[in-house]
Amino acid sequence: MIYELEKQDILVNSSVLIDMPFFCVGLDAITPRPGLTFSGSDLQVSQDCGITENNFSGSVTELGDGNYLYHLGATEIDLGKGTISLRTNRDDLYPSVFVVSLSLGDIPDFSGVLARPQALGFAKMGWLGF
Amino acid sequence: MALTIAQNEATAAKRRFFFEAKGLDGISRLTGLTFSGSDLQYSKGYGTEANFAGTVTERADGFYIYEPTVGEVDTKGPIALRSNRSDIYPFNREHQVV
Repeated sequence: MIYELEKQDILVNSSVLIDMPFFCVGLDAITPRPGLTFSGSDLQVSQDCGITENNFSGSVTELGDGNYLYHLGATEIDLGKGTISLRTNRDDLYPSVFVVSLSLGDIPDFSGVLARPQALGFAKMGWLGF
Repeated sequence: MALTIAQNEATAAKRRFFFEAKGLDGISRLTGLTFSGSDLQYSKGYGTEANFAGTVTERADGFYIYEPTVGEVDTKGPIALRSNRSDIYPFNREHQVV
């Protein structure tokens, strides 16, 4: 499954974390998978739309019902206004990719005020899958 | 929701998008595929489809990345990539050139 978010406003300051909502389902592609912990290569993060992936270096917060929030590390933020992807890479999950197309630098630096509440707003809205 | 790609985007990384190859059951994942000729049909502005001209890179677990050519993103409006293979569950990936 591929889920895309056209734009997520993030702060100009690259040291501020950005949040990406994602969710996990079982191999039937239906059943939500709450209560997961992630480590190592479980999540693959790319800053160039998947061409070059690395093990995740941020942190994950569980929201509930199989929904999670990934806090991208500062080094995972694409300063080139590119596309960040997060791919689940576990044998017990149906493969999914979550993509955010960044609009970096288009908004002023509010010193961390906007980043997390906005992302939570997206999480509440949910992803529109294709 | 579609991603947006700038018209005539020169940076390849900013033209890319994912597609996925599922088996005809709609669940199983197809890996190791190569695409050529009419396997993928590309259109601009909901116009006539043509064979794809971009590059396909396999990621993993049935995920592939399509990188259109600059010429394939030279027109503002919707673009679409459709599978034309009988062994893939049909998909039509649509994005916007702005």
